[in-house]
Order: sequence, then C-alpha cells, then structure tokens
Amino acid sequence: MGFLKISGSFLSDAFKFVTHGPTAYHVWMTILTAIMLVGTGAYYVQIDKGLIVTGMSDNVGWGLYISNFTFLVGVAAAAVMLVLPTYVLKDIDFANAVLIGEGLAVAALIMCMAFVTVDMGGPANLWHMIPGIGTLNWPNSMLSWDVLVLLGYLIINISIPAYILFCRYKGVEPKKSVYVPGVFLSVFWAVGIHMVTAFLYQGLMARPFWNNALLGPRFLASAFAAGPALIIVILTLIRKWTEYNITQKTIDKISMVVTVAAQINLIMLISELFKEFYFPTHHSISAQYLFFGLDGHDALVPWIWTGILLNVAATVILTVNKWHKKFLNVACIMLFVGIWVEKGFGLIIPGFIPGQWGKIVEYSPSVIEIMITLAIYALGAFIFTILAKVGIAVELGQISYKKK
Amino acid sequence: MIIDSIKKLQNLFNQSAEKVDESGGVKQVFEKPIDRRSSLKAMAGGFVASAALSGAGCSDAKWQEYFKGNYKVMTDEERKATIARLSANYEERTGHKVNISDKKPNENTLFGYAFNVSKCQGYGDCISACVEENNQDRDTEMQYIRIHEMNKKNGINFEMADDTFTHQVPQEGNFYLGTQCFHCDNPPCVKVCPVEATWQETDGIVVIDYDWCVGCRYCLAACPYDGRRFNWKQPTVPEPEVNKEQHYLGNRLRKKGVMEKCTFCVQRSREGKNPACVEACPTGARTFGNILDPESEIRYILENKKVFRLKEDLGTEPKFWYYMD
Amino acid sequence: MKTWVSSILIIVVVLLAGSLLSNLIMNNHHGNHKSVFKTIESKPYEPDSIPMSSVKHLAYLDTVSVTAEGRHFAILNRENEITSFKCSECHNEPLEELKALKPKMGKKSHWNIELQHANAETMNCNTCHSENNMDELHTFTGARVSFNNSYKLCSQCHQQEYKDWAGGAHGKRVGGWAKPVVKRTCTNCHNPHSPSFPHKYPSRINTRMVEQRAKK
Repeated sequence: MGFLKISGSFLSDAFKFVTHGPTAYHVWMTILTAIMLVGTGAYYVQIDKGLIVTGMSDNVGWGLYISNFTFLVGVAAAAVMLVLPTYVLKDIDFANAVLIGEGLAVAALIMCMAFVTVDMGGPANLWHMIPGIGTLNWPNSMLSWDVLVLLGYLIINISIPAYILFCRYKGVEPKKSVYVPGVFLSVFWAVGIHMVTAFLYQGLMARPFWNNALLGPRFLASAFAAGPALIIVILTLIRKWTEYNITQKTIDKISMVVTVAAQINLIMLISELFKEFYFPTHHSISAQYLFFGLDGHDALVPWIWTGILLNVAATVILTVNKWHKKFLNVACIMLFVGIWVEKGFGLIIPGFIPGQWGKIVEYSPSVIEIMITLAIYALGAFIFTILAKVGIAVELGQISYKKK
Repeated sequence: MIIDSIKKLQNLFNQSAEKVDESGGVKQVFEKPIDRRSSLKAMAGGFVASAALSGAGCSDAKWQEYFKGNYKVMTDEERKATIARLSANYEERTGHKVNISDKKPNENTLFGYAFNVSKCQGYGDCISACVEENNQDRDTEMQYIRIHEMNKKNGINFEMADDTFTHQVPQEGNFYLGTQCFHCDNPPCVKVCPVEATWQETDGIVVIDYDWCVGCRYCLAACPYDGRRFNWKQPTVPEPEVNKEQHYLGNRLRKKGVMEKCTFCVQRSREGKNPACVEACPTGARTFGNILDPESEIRYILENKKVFRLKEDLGTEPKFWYYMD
Repeated sequence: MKTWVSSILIIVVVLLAGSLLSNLIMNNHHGNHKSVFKTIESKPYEPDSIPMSSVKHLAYLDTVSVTAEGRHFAILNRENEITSFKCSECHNEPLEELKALKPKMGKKSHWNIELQHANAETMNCNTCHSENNMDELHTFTGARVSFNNSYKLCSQCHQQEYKDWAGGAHGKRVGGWAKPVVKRTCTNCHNPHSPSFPHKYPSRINTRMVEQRAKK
C-alpha cells in the first residue's frame, strides 16, 4: 500500500531528522531528557509512598498539578485561535504560524493529561473511565466531559497537521475539503475545552470562590492572551534560528489578538475584584485570603500581586503604541508568567482556603511535586521541539518523499 | 519550604523502614510482594485454607482483583468472588480471618441522623469509637468526625470555632457541635465523580467502592461539609486493632490513593445496630434511625423539635439534623 | 462547500451544548424540588415488610416493659443492677433508729453519696426515698414507685425531658435502631444524686490536624 509505504518513509525520515542537529539542539534535548529522568524518579517515589510526598492535604486537595493543568488547557485552546483566520478568512499571514500553533496545542494537551495523571491517587485505575469497560459518569460529571473534550481535541489537533504535513511530504497540495471542516471544528472545540474546564470548577457550589459565572469567560480571555503570547515568543525564536519564513505581519496580527485579550482579561479582573470587595460577604473570604491574607496566613499574597502587576504592566505596554513593538517580547513573557501565576496558584488553591469549616491550612508544593511538574514541562518542550522541527523541515521541503 | 519538604520526606522514609513488619500485616493490597517467611508461618500456624491462594493462584487472584468491575454493577457471584479473594488474601498475610459482608440495603429504610447541640459535651468518644470501628489510618490520624467547640456568645460560627481542643470539656461558656458526612439526599460528591465510584444506596447511605475510585479528589472539592477523606499514604492499622467485622462498602481495609468517608457504619446499621458514634456517645446527643418509620426516635425529633441543617441553602438535603433542647 | 461545513458545525455545537443544557435542566428540575420530606411522604411505611430486628443485639438483657406518653417500649431492669438490693436486707428498721446508732457505728453509711441535685430547699433524701420502705421510691404525692420505674420520679420535675425521652429526643437506645425498642432509663446515664455530666479530657485528639494548621 502506498499510504503505509509513504508513512513509513515519513517516520524514518522524521526520526533521522530529529536525531540530527547542531550541538545546541543536542544540549537542549539532553537537558530536557535529564529533567524528565529526574521527574520520573520523583514520580516513582510518589507512586511508592502515595501522594503524601506532595504538599496537598485533605484541606487543600488540589495543588501544583491541577493548577498547571488548568493553565495549560488555556494554552492549548488559544494556540488554535490562530487557525481560524488562516484557513477561513484566507488570511495567509497566519499560515506559517498555524503549524506551530497546533504543535503547541498538542504539546500542551499532552502536558495536561500528564498533570491529571500524576495527580491521580490510582493512575492504574484510569481504565475505569473507558466507556464500555468502565463506568464513565457522563453527562453528570464535568470531569468526564473534560476527559472526552480533551481527547477529542488532541485527536483533531494531531490529525489536521498530520494530514497537511503528510501531503506536503508527498508533494501534493492538501485538499481544502478535507481539512477545512476539521479546522472549523477545532476552533469551536477550543472554546469548548476551555469552557468545560472552567465548568469543572464553576459548578462546585461548595467553593464560592469558583462558583461564579465569570469564571468561564475569564478563562477564555486569559487563555487568548497567554497562549498567543507564548506563540509570539516562540515564533520570534524560530525566525531567529531557522530559515522558516515568518513575516512581521504575522507577529503583528497575533500581537493584536494578545492585546485585546489582555485588555478584556483586565476588565474582568476589575469586575471580579469589585464584586468581592465592594461589600465583602462570607463568600469573599477566599478572595480575602488570596489578595490580602487571612489571620496572618498570606502565602499567596506576594504571588498574586506579582501576577497582577505583570498583567497590568504587560497590558499597558501592549496598549501604548509607542511601546508595543519595542517591548513586544518582554510584554509577552510578562503576560504569560502573570497569567500562569493568576490561573495557576491564584485560581485553584484559594478555592480550598479556608476549608469548609473556616479552618486555614496553607499549601506549598513539595520538592517531589516541583520536580514532577518541571519534568512534565520538559516533556512538553521535548514534544514541541520535535513537532516543530519536523513540521518546519517538511514545510521548507528539507524532508520530502520526492527527494529520494 | 524546601528544607521542610526534604525533612518530611526523610521522616517518611525512616518511618516506613521501621514499620515494615507492623504495617505489612494489614495492607489490603495485592501489589506488595508477600513476605515468604510470614506466609509460611501463617500456613504452619494451621491456616491451611490459604494454600489455595499460593503460587500461581495468587497472581491470578491479583489480576482478577485488578480487572474486577464497579461493585454497583457486579453480579452477586462477582461480589462473592471478590470478597472471597479479599478475605483469603488477608488471611494469608496475617493468619487472621476477616468477615467481609455484602449485605444489601433493607427495604423501607432511609437512614437519618440527629445531633443534639445542647447535649454534646465535647468528650470525643464518638471520634475514638469511629476510628476503631472503621479501621482508619492511625499514622495520619484520619478522623471522619469533627467536634467544633463554639462560644455561646458567637453562636454557630465555624470560623471562630475550634476543632482541635485539648483542654478539659465541657468548658464554661462553650457548646459543642459535631460534623461528619451528612449523607445528602442530593449529594454533590456523587454527581461529580467521573467513574461512578461513589453513589447513594436505597437506604440513603452514600458509599464508595474503594477499588473503583481513581483518586482524582473531585468529590473532596465538591463536598460542602468536609465529609470526605483521602488516603494520602498506605493506611495502616496494627493487626490486633483491625476490626474484623467488615462490609465491602464500609470499613474494610482501604489502600493508598482512594477516597473514604463515614458510611453511617454500614456494617453495623444494616444489621440493625447503631453506628459506632451513636453507641459510644455518653450523653445521648446522637440519634440514628429510619426516617420512614413514623414511630422511630428520629421521626419524633423531626416532628417535635426545632431542627435545622447546615448550609441548607445549597439544596444538598443532608439527612443529618441538628436540634437543641 | 461553505454551507455544508457550517451546517455540520452548527449541528455538532448544538448537539454538544444541547446535551449539556438538557443535563443541567434535568438536574435543576430535581435539584430544586428534591426534598427528604417529600421522599418520606411518598413512601408510606409498611412495618411488616421490614425484616430488620435488633433482637440479636439484645440477647441476655434483663428488661422491663413500660408505657410512657402512650409509647410502649422496654427499659433496662434497674433493681438487679443495684448492689445489695433489696435495701431492706440492711434497712430492717426505720431510718430514725439507724441514725440514732450513728455515734456507736462510727463512719456514716452511704458516705460516698453527696446530693448535688437541685438544692436543699427542693430536694433531700426523702424526696425520693421512703423512710419506712427502703425497697421502693415514692412520688411527691406518696405513690409508690419501684426502682425500675424511677423515671416516674424524674418526670415530676423534668417534664420536657420525660416527653423527649419517651419520644426519642433525649436519652439513648440499647441494641440498635431497629425494633424492639429498649431504652436506657434516666439512671443508666445520670447519677440521681449528682445528675450532671463530669468534666474530663477529650478521649482522642488529632495532633496531625493541629500541626497542619499551625504551619505558616
């Protein structure tokens, strides 16, 4: 079969290509592998001893893992927002960025799934979720929705670029009628994964900090700021290091998306702060803890204010025309870190503090937890590097079936 | 923070190194290799029944245990089989028998619970009885029940309450209020579980299939009453202290990485007994019974006392009422 | 081409959103109206269908049947629990004569009993005990009451407690929640001479919880 032959040749070409590169590339991959190995060791300890080696407790039941999961869902969702203008509005400026965006989405999704898996008390029992063999509590549990939409999103985002790259590799022009519906679907799906993940928290009346209608929209706004911000930084690096042609116009347009999203995110933040603090009720107590500390417990206060400061500064830089171009990359990094703090630490952990009966137990991640988290980020970077390297090579015609 | 964390880890390693023998005896898990010497001892001790599970049979049982289904959808034979495996495994490892029941809910029964805030003196006998009855982990001091000491001036105010008091009780000017799983009629924890590992039985008890739970702790986040507990480590109970009268959905030994909680002592209540906390309470502050039975004590309380429930605005419909004299 | 693409998309989105919404509406419908009390009302109680009984937990118990507030149940036999009952085995002469012997006998009998129940204006030994018949108690009006039925004396003052005890809001059951009903009587929990509960240290505390909360 021609298809199998071409795919086999593609895979072996790709394998050869990713195992060869300049020294800097090898150093980069070695460092990532080392971090992953250390993390694997840490995970072994966690499997052996149980989740007691983390900083979590019955009081703060979710920590670093779920925080990063939540944040990365946003990154994954936002990456695909680049897809829409490219394919649908026939705005070719984005075309080169799209493969990168989808590669980022795949990497982010794999990280999401890794974070959820390491957070499980019984990862060996995950087959209980498979419909048919197990008992997936669908449609009642938002977590079952999340599993389904994330898996679906992963499949879509692997198959579209795979199809396009495969065609390019073969030297055929990809058929629009094949991938355009997929692209449409993936854009709607991107909004879907974010809303469903927000609903995961938003639906819990037990946690007033999460149980507000703005959570979903704010998730979207912050994701559309953080995701493309990361892409801008990556595109700049790719432009610097490879011959891949990314026009200034592409970056300009993505930075517009980032700017608007960051502005909307700030407006929503103000709205949220107003609601919590204009007339603080009993339900504002978690926000009180997060922003100002409660009874001398203030572990998150420096984090959240750093996050807000970064957010505000980045938004101002992006908004003021004079600074926009000059400090674009700095602003993007600031925005990304700011939103990571805000959506990571700032969203998940305060939901648990104070506990149901008003008792405060603070959370700080353990060494094991930090090692595993870093390893998962290394895994994401590793996957993204491979995907981007192969993708760019195919696009540039460095590897192709015809060449042989 | 990092130094603390490393210290904690060191302690954990030291602890487990010392405790191997003691804890090995009570783990209800198949993952751990069985210590040959102790299993030989057990057999030499006359527990020949365990021989059936030795060698290849043991690894078969292990896989059957791993691939068994959700208890909720198991057939009666499958239930019997898993219980046989679990009790044989325990016997092989410790040389002692456990009696794991799979008694179904009684008809025309809906359990309810009432707590007399005026009567509770904060003695904590309920907590002790609960821990001993339900085989909770002794190392992490897992407790289902919390007794909150509240000041009469502040009224029922959990923020200003203390549930870690160590002084003599009852203390002047204070009153005491206990919380645990309220077995809501509209339980949010059941709704959020992604794998249906927790559900409400027809007698109103919210139970967990410990072997089906994946340990995501979504239920812990969804419970507004601090009713759920997670096994952050392998729970251990010294063998002589293990309560051998068990129920599959109740106090049978748990493993690390799964949720657990109060089951109204399903192993007792389905036999007509009161939960351990009710029986242990020296002041009669705790009443348990069938709320469908108009002659029951609990119904008298519902109809004659001014009862209230906690966080009633959430619509969870707890079957746990408070009242005062 | 665009038309069919968008129509497929709309169908997918509508299906997904629809299933989520229908789930929400369905649950809301139950969530807002579900009430334990409705469940109770909707299930008329059929006592005979319940095989549950606490008889096996009551074996060897020595009980006495009583009727209080129109409810029939059993209480624990008290007379057999009292050390050296019957009292008349020692108290074979009137109390005054025994008291007259005090200087000769030395230490007071029942020296460990100190009455801490109401105050001296309201209660003394004679409020409950009969001078001339130590084997039985008596009410305010002089009616004889056996030691088993001492709750009748308590109920003279503690009417509300008595009603709640008969009904089930005060006191404790023996055996379990299922029928037959056996209750502890007043004196099974309260020392009639000093009925309030003692001060003591809590039986179990959670040091782990204290440690977690103290951490800053």
